[in-house]
Amino acid sequence: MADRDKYSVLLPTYNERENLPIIIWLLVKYFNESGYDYEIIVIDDGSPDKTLDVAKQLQKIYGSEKIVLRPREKKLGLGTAYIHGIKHATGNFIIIMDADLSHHPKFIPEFIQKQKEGNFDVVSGTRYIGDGGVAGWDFRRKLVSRGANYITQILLRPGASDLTGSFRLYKKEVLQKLVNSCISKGYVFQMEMIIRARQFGYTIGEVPISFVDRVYGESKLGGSEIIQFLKGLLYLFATT
Amino acid sequence: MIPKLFQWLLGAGLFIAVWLAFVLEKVDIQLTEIQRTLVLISPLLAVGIFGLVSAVIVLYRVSTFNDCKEAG
Ligand SMILES: Nc1nc2c(ncn2[C@@H]2O[C@H](COP(=O)(O)OP(=O)(O)OP(=O)(O)O)[C@@H](O)[C@H]2O)c(=O)[nH]1
Ligand SMILES: [Mg+2]
Repeated sequence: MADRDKYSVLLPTYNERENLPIIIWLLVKYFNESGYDYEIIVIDDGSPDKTLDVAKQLQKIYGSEKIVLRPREKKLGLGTAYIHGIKHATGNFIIIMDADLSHHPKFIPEFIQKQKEGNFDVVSGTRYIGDGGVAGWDFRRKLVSRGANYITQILLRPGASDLTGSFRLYKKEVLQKLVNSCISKGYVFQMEMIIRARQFGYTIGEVPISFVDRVYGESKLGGSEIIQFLKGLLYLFATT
Repeated sequence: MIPKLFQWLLGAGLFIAVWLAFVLEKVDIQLTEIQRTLVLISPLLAVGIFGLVSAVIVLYRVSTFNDCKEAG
């Protein structure tokens, strides 16, 4: 690759000691195969399971050029983890993904290609179009997911098919601006990012991805998440 | 851009205004008995049809939701 683009992958972690070695191994593998310049920024929030120690081991293996550690003292939430990560990112593009193996690094070269195709400001992974999909969901979860997505599409007309996904590529300055103007938390934060992107007139490309549930660690999907989602939806419906 | 909420309120307000004009017979258009009933229940019809179409769309999308094999 002759271009000078560099991709900073932000990996927020909280209790991901089993997942981190795998995700980083995969990231390194796919970046080396595709030849793009990259760095992986691990933002650990003082995980009780000592994810940070694992991260330090990995840094020794892959080098501190590629694995950058930017830990914080305690759990301060995803939104601020991104802000923290951006500050230390040296790439002109930023890739945001979960460290729990829900998002497979094999899609990253497709994100990058898509971005180059249309010089998009944002490239968003989507479970809802083309070859995109989910792994091992029962009927009920699919129904909730599709139903929520349908309502969101009707109410917000966002111009992107997957609003709650968090596997995305941004131009650095675009992400900076979006993060600064978003106030929501949790799922709603991802949703607000895309809505604001549309509001600011940024262009959005989409890449179909498959989403896999976490194998290691605990999932926290529950009733309160749904309430939060609905609140966020109404907030965006009334204000944007 | 005005927020989506107000776009909807505007649309709904417009619809209700026209509907009321017919129901309260403020417009000079002769309607047959059947047409009058249709107009009267048109808000219900609209909501019903919208709900039905939505349900079909969502169910169709659930049935075509890709099941990806867990790739390593
Ligand atoms: N630094 C940091 N990372 C976090 C925090 N909360 C979650 N994460 C990480 O953010 C990513 C997404 O969080 P998840 O817990 O997987 O959230 P989710 O995907 O919505 O829910 P499940 O996978 O079903 O549990 C993972 O890599 C987490 O380790 C936090 O407060 N601080
Ligand atoms: Mg997850």
